[in-house]
Amino acid sequence: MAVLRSLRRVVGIACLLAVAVAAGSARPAPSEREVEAAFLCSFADFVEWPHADSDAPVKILVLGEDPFGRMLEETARSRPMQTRPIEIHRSRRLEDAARFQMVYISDSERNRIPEILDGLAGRGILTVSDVADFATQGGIIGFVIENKRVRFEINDEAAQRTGLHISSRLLNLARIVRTSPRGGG
Amino acid sequence: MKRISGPIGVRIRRPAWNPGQGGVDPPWTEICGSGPPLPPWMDPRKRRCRGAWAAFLSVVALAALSVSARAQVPPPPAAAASPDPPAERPLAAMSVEELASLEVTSVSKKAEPLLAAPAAVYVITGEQIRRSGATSIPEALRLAPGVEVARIDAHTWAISIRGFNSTTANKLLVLLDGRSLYTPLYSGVFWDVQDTLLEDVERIEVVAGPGGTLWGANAVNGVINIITRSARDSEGGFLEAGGGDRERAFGAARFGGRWGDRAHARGYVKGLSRGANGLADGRYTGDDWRMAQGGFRVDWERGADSLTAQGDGYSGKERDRSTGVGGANLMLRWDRQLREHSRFQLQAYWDHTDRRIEGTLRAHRDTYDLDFQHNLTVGARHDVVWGLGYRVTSDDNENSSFVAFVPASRTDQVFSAFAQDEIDLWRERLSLTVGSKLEHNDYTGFEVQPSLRLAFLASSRQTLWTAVSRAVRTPSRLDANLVITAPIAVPGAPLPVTVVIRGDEAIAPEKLVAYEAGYRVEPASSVSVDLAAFYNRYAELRSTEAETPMVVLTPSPHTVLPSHLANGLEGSTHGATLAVSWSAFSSLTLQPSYTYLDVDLHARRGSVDLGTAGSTEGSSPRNQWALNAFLALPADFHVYAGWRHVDELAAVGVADYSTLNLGIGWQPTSQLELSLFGQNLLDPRHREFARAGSVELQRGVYGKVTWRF
Repeated sequence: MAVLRSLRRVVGIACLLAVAVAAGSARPAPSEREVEAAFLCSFADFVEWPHADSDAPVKILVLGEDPFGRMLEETARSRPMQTRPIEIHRSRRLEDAARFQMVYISDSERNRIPEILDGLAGRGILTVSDVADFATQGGIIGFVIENKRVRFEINDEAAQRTGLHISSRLLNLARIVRTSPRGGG
Repeated sequence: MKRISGPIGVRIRRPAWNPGQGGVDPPWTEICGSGPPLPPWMDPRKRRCRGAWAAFLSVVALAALSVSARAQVPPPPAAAASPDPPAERPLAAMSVEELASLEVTSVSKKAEPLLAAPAAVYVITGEQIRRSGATSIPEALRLAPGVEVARIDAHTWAISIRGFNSTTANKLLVLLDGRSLYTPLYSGVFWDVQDTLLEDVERIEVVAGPGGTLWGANAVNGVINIITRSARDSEGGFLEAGGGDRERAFGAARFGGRWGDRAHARGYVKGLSRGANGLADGRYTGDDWRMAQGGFRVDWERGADSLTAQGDGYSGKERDRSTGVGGANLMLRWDRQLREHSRFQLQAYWDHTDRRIEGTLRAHRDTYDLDFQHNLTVGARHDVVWGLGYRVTSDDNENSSFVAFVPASRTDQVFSAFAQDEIDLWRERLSLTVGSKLEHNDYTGFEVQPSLRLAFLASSRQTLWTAVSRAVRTPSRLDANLVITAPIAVPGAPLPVTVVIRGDEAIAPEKLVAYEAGYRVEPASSVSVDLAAFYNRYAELRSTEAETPMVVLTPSPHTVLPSHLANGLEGSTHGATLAVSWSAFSSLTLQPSYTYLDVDLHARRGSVDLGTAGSTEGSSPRNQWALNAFLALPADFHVYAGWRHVDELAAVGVADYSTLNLGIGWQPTSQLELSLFGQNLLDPRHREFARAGSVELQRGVYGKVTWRF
């Protein structure tokens, strides 16, 4: 019974604390999309493209339905001064993708990932997506949610094959995966 | 609302409406043994209970004899971690390491915001289930605030929400991936056969309060929706093996893969053996339980269409073979997006169940169900869902001299239609959800179950809601067709005595009008507080009515104490649940909750109820406290602690108790996990629903190895 009473007290205190904390701080957690947008822009700082002009803007294409709204532009605008500038474009046509350094493949295209990856192969394009198993299908960076956090998988073999060099700092944060045979990448 | 998993008009969608993610999955029903379709006190099949029942029945008999038919005897009765953002800097200024450590709000892309749901909805995540070490769905339900989960033995539970708990509790609707799990035999759930691979459970949605508008009869006090992951989200292999003293041994294997370009499939098998609990003095009780189960799920997508096929099969028994169960089910579902805000779903399933309780009953049942639902937006302000349903269920019972269903076989049909509109009254801040179900059943004809829900989003982080709804529990086979004939020992009686209880084909549905209100607030990203209160008015609840005793001369002279089921009770319940989820540090989540319940029932004028009112009042706890804690430690250790305190249950003679479960898991590599769990740690043994002198739950410890590849 003593245990019980003390536990009751603990519960009571926890409730009070929760309410107090609630009343005190109100800082919203970012959404998954906002964090993905921030990552997408950051990736520009950790990847070396073949024969690229390191002062020119990194051009990012969102392929398919854009899930970000204004988030990408806002993130690009508020990036620190010393980093590479970023340009955001949107298209639903795969043919438009060839002239970009980075292509984000929207969830709306999830049924034609193999086709898209084939179309972009060998062009030195960093492919990014949050479609499930993107990196094991042959994409380069796939976002995943782990323990409520946005993390990513990197298929470094695929990156090297297309001539990209990804910094070890980024690789250290990622789960490194290979193209899986059943992924058909 | 969208029909969701929740019955509510809530914004929780029915699984199928989350295309691609979290669709529905198959479950299993398994076997449960204990709750025979009889009032628990009448169950003769278990010797361990027989003494108590005999004593009870003797009291009834004596009272009836001495007071004639007016005996008023008490009878039977029947969360994770969240790091604060590193300062108020824009995300663009954060390092990739900081970004990777940020907790984000919308974990599931398609999840509907629970915050705005105009109902008391709680979600148990798959992650919480796995961290808690729950080895069954009933044990996992302890993670939801306000659910009364009382375990009786290795495979029997009494589970209810907002009162009326018993081993034959009949006011909950439980669904696994859209398949109804309650049995039309007694409108309750055989919990021992409700299982699936817990690794593949995406979440369990618990809705306290009526959900009849969306889900139909039986969603009286609450709806529980168990939702498994899409095959798309369960690729790869999973192996699990473990054992201990109570959970003697268990193992499971699942393999999921891609099948061509558009389809994913998975299959699983699992088995378990649980040890008997024993009496307080250590004597053996035959509740050892063994189950084997297997199943599959295939999800196929192409453009706007998705198809799901899933099924399971299972078999189980008590060690002494006094109870045996088996079953199989198969479901097909087609989901099509018609336009941006319009989609429909067509679902069909078959479910077979088989339960044998030695010397008491053998029941086979086949159910076929067809369900159509269409969600669409009309104009800018109306979110509409409507649907049609048809179910046919037929059973075949092998009666015994003790328990019989008359007729032994019966086929019943249910036709239903529902429509609900969620109307945006003011700037997406004030919404009104109005709808009704119209259902026709073979026992009582047409039943209407309307509801009205109002939600006000006071800010982006707080919601006030209120609702009025009507729900009914339509009669089951037990209510209409049961015949129990129980010889009992009455010391000193001149003749042998037999108690007879009969169902009544003319019995009416039980009716509820529920008034609910709630407040939900997320004062910070790390905290959510949910307060929900209700006042329920019940009419025409089932009672057991005494009749005049008589002497029967054949086959040999004996006294018969007859009674029958009727609608002799009415009354009200009220209560509230306060549930808090607080991510105190980046690695610690605390989830305290408190539930208060008051049940006040009485017999209607003219009723000679044999104490059902009192036994119902005393079968649910007035106060329930719980605290669940999830802690992530460095080096990939996870710790879980779950404590709860449950008030006394006067009608079953269970004193108030506290109990504690602990778990620790270690993931040395991304593939391998080792874990150790302790259950019921505060006492060597305790009772949660079993009567004094019968089986007692023992403290248990088990370990587990999990390999994912």
